[in-house]
Amino acid sequence: MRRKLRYLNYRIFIPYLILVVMGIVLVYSASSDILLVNGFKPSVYGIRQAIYALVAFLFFCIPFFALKIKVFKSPKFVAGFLIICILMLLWLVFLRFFHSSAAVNGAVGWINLGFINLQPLEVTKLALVIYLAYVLDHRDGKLVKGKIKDNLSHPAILAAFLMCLVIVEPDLGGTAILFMITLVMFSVSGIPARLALTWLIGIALVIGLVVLIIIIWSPEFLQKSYQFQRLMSFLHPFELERKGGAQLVNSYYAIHNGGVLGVGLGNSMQKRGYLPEPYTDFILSITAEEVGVILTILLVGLLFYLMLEIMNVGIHSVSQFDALICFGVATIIFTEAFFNIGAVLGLLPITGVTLPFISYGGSSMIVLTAAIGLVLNVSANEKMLKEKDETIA
Amino acid sequence: MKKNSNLKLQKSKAHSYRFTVGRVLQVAVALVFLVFTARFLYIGISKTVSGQNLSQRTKQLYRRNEIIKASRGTIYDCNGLAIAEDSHLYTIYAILDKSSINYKNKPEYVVNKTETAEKLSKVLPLSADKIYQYLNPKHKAFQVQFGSGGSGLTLKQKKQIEAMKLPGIKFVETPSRLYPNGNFASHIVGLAQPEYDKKTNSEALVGTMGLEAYFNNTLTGKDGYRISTVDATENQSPNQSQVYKPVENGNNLYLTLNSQLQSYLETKLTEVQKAYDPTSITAVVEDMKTGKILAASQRPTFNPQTKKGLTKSYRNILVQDTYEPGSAFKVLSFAAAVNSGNYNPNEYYRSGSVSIGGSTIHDWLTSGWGTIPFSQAFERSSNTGFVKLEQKMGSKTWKKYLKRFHIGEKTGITLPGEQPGFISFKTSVDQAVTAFGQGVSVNVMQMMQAYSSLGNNGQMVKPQLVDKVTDFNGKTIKGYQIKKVGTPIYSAKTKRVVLANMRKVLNKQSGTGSAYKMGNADIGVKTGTAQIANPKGGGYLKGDSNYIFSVVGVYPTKNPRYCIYLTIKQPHLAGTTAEKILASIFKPMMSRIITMAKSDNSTTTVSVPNFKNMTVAQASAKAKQVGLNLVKIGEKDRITAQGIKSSEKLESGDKIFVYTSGKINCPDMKGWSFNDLHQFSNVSGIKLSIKGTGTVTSQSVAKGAELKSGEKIKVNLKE
Repeated sequence: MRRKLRYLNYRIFIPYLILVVMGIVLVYSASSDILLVNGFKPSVYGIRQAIYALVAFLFFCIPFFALKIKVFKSPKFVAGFLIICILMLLWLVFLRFFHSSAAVNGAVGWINLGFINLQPLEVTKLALVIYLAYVLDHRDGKLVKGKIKDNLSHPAILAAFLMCLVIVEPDLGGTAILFMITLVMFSVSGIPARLALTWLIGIALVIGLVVLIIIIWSPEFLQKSYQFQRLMSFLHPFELERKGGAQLVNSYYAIHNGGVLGVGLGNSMQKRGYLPEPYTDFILSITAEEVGVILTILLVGLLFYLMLEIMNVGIHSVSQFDALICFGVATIIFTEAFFNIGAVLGLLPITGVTLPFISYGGSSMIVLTAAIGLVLNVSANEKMLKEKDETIA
Repeated sequence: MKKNSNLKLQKSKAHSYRFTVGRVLQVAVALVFLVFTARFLYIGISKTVSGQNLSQRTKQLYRRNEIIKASRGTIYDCNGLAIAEDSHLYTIYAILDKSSINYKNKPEYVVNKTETAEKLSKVLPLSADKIYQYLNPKHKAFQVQFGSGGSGLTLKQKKQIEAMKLPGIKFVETPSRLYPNGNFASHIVGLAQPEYDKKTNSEALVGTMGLEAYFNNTLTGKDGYRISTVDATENQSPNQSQVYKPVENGNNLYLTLNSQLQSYLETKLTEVQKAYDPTSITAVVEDMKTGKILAASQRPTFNPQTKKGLTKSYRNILVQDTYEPGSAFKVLSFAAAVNSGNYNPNEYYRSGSVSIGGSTIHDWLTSGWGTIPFSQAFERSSNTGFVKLEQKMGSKTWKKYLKRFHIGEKTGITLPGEQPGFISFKTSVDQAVTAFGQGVSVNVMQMMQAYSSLGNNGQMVKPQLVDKVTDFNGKTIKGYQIKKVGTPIYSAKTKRVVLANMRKVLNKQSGTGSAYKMGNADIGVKTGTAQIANPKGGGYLKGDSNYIFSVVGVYPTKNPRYCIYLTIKQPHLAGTTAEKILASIFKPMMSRIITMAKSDNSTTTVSVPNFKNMTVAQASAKAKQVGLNLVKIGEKDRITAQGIKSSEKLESGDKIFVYTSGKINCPDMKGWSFNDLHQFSNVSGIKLSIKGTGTVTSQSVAKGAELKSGEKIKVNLKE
C-alpha cells in the first residue's frame, strides 16, 4: 500500500479532490435557499454531500486503490458484481410493473436502503466496465479479422440485456450511457482502428439521422410520449415554456444572469424556486450564475482534463485490462458530463443525467469515487509494470 | 511457441490500434469541451438566445415594479364636508385564450361559457344570453370586456363575482371621482375624469374643468413605486436591494363655499330654471370683507356624478362669459361721481331723455319723471341722470375710476379660462353709456370684486374660492389670505352715500327695487336691466325678455359684509316680472345670510359643564352662569345624565338637557331645534321621528302626557 502510494497519479487524484470539494460548496449554495424556504436547515444537503464524499473516499476509493488488480480481475468478483447489479435492476423492473406507487416522476430508479437511496444504474455502469474489461482482456490479441464477431457477440448480448433492463425503467439517459460504455470499450479493445472509427462515426450518423427524421416527420403516435415532448421542448424552449421548456429557459436565464463574472456565490436568483432541483441536474446553471461563465468553464475544463488524463493512462497501458478500465471509467464520466452539460446549454435534450462529482447524490458519488480509486490503482499498477519492464531490460 | 509469439504480435498490433482510437477519442472529448466553452460564453455574453432577449426576460422575471398610486386630494367645503372625493370602480373582463394557465397548471381562462354567463348575469346588468355573446366574439380574442354593463362595478359587486370563483374572470381597477352632492357649484368645483396615462400604462384622474382643473397639480400627488426582486413564489428576497419611493398623495382643498348656502342656492336656481327657462342664471354670494365666495352657481349646470347636462353646459358662465352689466354697474359710476365731488343731491335735472353726440338716450320710463333732483337718479335708475353725472366727471376722470375698479382686467380668480371683458370708450356716446353699464363688458367675478369695495371703505378685495390647502394628513400647507386689489378707490364718506342710495332703491314710491324689500332688514340693493348686444351685430336685441336682469344686494348697510349678485338672461316672463323672479332667489338667500350673520355676531361658544350628581337648582344656576338654558327631564332632583357631554361646545343661549330619572312627562317641544330634539332623545331614551327642517311646529304626543321608555314621538319641523 505504502509502496503503491508512491505511484499515485496526482494528475488524476488532485483534479478529483478539487472537483469533489467544489461540488460540496456548490451543492450547499444551490440547495440552501430551497431548504430554507421549506423550513429545513440550509446546510443539510451540503453536509450530506460532504458525508457521501468522505464515506466514498474512505470505504470505496481507498480499497479500490489498495486492493490488488488481481482481485478485480478474478472471475468470482466480476461475476458476483454483475449478478448483484442484474438482480437489483430486475427488482426495479418488478417494482415498475407490480408496485407502480414506488415510481418517482414516472420512473423507478431507486432502491431505498434506509441510509441511502441506491441507484442500481450507477453501480451497473461500473459493473459493466469491469465486466467488459475482464472479458475483453481475455480476448486480447484475438480480435483479428473474421473473429471479431464471434469474440464480441457474448459481451454484446450481455450489455444489451443490461440496457434492456434500464430502458424499461424507463431511463433513456442511463441506457445511452451503458451503450456508450460498450461502444467505446469495444472500439479500444484492439479491433482495427479503421473498423472502430467507421463504427463510431457510423453509429453517430445513424442516431443523428433518426432524430432528424423524428423531428421532421413528427409521427402522431410519438407526439404524446414523454421523450418526444422533451425533444420538442428542447428545440423550442421559449415557445413551450409552460409545457416543459421551463427548465431549459431557466437554465438560460441563470447562465445569462451570471454573465462573465457571476452575481456572487450565494446570490443566484434562479435557485430561488425558478429552476427546479438546482442542486442536481442543473447545478451547473446555478454555478454559472453565481461565479460566472469563466470560472464555470474552468470547472468544466478540470472535469474534461480528468477524463483526458484517465484516457492517457488507458492509451499508454501495457495491460489490456488496465487500458479498458481507464477507457470505461473515462466514458462514464464523459457521457454523464456530455448529457448533463449539453442539456444545461440547450445543446441536447434533457435526459436527467447528473454532473459527475458536482451534482448532489450519494450513489453517483460512491460509484465515481470507487471508479477513480480503481483508475488510480490501475495507473499505479501500470507504473510498476513499466518500472519492472525497465529493470528487466 | 510460435502461436505464443503470434499472439504477442497480435497484441502489440491491437495495442497500437487502441492507441490510435484512444487518441481520436481524446480529440473528440476535447472538441466537445470546446463546443461547451463556446456555448457557455455565448449564453453568458450574447443578448439573445433563440431570438429571445434574455436580459429583458430575466428582469421581468425577478423584478417587480410596483406602482403605488397616489390618491387625488379631496375637495371640501369650508366646514369640511366632502364635495369631491376619490373612489374606485372596477371593470370586469374575461380571458378566453386557453394558453392562460397559472403556476399550479390550473386554467386561468373561461372554461364553461354557459355557466359563466349565467352566474355573471346575476350580478351584472346584462342578460345571460348577452354575456354569452360577449364570451363568443366573432374574431379570436385573448380576452373580452362586457361593454358598459361590465364597467363601473362597485367593490361589493366585484366581491360577489369573485366569490363565484369563475376561472378566467378578472377585474381592472378604474379610478373615479365621487361627487356626493350632485348639482353643487358644478362649474366651480369642476370635474376630474379618468384619463389613460401612457407613462404608467394606467388610468389616472385628471381635472378637466373648474377647480379640479385649475388645481390639478395640487390635487394629483405623485405616485410612489417599489422595485424589488422576487423569487418564484413572489416572495421578496430579503437580501436584494430595493428601490422605494414613497407615494405622495394629493393635497386637499377646502373651499370657501358653505354647503348649506350652496345647496339652498342650487335649489332656488333650479326652481327658477324650471319655471322660467332662462338662457342662463348666475348667482354669487360673497363675504365682501374677505373676498370669500360663500356660494356660487349658474344655470345651465350639470351633475358631475352622473354627467347629466354636461354636454349642454361646458362653459363656466361666471368667468368664461362676459356681458354688459347694465344698471347694476351704476354702483360703480355713482361712487365715482360722489367721490370726485360731482354729485350734488339737490341739483335738478330734466329726466326722460338726453341727446348726446347725435344719439338720444332714454330713461327706462321713456317719458321720465319730469325735473328731479340728482338725489333721485340712483333710486330711480335714471340713465339720463347718470349720463349727466358722467359728463360732469368728464371722461378722463370716469376712465380713471374704471381703471381703478379693474374693469377690463381679469380678477385672477382660481378658475380656468377667465375672460377680461372690454370697455368701448371711443366716442362720447360710448363713454356716456358706460355710466349705466352698457358698452362695457365684464364677467361676474369682476363685478363681485368691484362690489367688495363697499365692504372695505373703497378697498377692493379679490374674490377667492379656496379657503386652505392641506396635505394628505390634514396639515395646513396654505391658509387663507385676504388679497387687496389696488388701493382704496373711494372714501368712507362716499361709501355711506352709495349705501344710503342703495337702501333707497327699496323704497316703494320711487325705488326700482321694492320687490326686494324684506321687512326692516338692513339691506341695500341695485337693480339692473341690461340690453343684450345682438350677437349678429348691429345694436341690441329687442323684446320684453331680451335682457339680462340683475340685482346686487349688500347686508348690512351699516357695515356691509355680505353681497349677493344675481343675473338672469332672457327669462320667459309669463305674466310675472323679472324682479319678482330674481327676488324669489334673492330674498330666501338673503334671509339665510341674515340668520347666519346674526348667529355669527352675537353667539359665543360655551363649554358644557358637568352637571352629573348636581341638584336641579345647582345645575340651573351653573347653566345660567355660563349662558345655557337648563331643561330638566324626569321628576327627581338629582341629575343622572346630560344631553351633551361635558366640555363639548354649545352656543350661548342654547338649551342643555339633563335627566333626573323617574317618570317622564312629554314636554312642550314647540320651537325646539333639531339639536334640542337630539339631546332630548339622548337623555330620555324616547325615540323621535323627525320630519322637515327648522323648528318644531307640532308633536304627536300631547304636552304633559306620560312617556314610556321606547315610545316614539312624531314631530314636524318647519323653517
